[in-house]
Amino acid sequence: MAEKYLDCLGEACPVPLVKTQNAIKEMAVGDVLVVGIDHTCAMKNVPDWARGQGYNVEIEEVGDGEWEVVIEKTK
Amino acid sequence: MDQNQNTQLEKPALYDIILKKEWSYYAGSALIVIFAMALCMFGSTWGVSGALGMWGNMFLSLFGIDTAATFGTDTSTYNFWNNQASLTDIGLLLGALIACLLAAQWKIRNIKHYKQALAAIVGGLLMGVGAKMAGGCNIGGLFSQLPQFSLAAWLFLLFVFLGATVGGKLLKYFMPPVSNQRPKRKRLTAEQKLRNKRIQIIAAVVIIALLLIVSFVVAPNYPKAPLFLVIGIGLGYSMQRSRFCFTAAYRDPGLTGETKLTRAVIVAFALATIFFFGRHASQFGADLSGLTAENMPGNVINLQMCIGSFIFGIGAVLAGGCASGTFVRMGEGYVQLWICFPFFCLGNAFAGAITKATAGTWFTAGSKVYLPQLFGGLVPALLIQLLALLGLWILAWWWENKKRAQFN
Repeated sequence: MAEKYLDCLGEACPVPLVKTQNAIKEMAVGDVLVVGIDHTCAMKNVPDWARGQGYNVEIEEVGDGEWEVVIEKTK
Repeated sequence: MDQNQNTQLEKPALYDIILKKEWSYYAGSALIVIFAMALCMFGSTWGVSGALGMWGNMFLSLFGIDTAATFGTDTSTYNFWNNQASLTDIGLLLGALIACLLAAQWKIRNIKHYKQALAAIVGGLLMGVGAKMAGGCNIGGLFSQLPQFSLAAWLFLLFVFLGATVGGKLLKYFMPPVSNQRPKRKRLTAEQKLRNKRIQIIAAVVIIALLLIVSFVVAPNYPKAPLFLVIGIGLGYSMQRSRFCFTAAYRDPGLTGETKLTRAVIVAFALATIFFFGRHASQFGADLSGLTAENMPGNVINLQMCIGSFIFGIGAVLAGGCASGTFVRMGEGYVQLWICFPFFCLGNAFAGAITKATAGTWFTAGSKVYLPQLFGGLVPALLIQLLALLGLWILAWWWENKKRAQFN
């Protein structure tokens, strides 16, 4: 049940999603990835993709236009 | 964290629904098509990159360069308030800025690594050169042309996709290294969040008020200027709220396997196709008897256009947005796209030397292909084009499901 943070602040599409996919691949089932994002497009396409994979996803707006997307790798 | 969970269980507030929550991509498709068609009805079809090239040439002429002789662009007659693309481009930026402020999501989104600046410079230059050679960007060369039954735009789509595939392979050299360090930032308290929200909303209201004043001032001399500006703002607002991105449509399938934006762009093409079906019938007659070589829509198909769209595709992937996307993200406060912008302008201006030198040679030899002429009328062309788009939509849907299954 490890938790890992991935810093994608200031990065434009498609970099946040590519990095998220790479990070998830290396994680074990049950691990949690927290992706720090301030790209308005990525706060939609990263959760969209993760939900599509069937993972649990939560989005928290931690500042003005800054989000943490919490992804639990459930399978 | 407890507090956050509580807020998620609550019903969304009216403010969140009206001004904050992102729209679906399809809502974006519909609104973008409507604004673009409104523009088409009283101006000309939507274009973005033309103004960037003009600004690049104007900058170069400051250094005493005769841009008309060197790059084939005469800047002396240019007037911002008289230029459709300039006004809609600034509108895109302002619309995204207003959308972002009203949602209390505006901030300076700084780069953190030199590679991002490098990607913006290389991507901007490539996009500028590509758009000039291709006779338009994602908008002028593709979105405003494909629905006009122009075969050139279908070829633009093919070559920009190939370029984006190459760009996707190059992207790893421009990606900032992976960092797992959480930046040390103070979490804002509820009061601070509320205060920031009020400041951002007030800023948006002030900008809207200023725009209204400017519109009234310029309207007597340039009656069309406020209309162009408003449509640009509508496009920028819609693109920001729906997170619409033309580049993602052909970039993401290969890179991340996502095709939601691909399908939204295809739907936008289909809606606009239906509009132009009616418009062309009224312009050229239902039997196309009014169609001439001069008024035929679309770009000439030639080698230069194919190479240009290929180069544009590489640049758009590296920079993180095409021409319209660059304006939207500049409005949102992205430093990477502010760096990209001047290089897009300069690349577009420099490429004037290429288009000037190759004019009239085998490189630019070709002809327009108007699909209704090829298929024997507007109705068969409409049906074939809509079926082709439906086929692409299904292909994109199948691809996303396939990639999703492969990932696990």
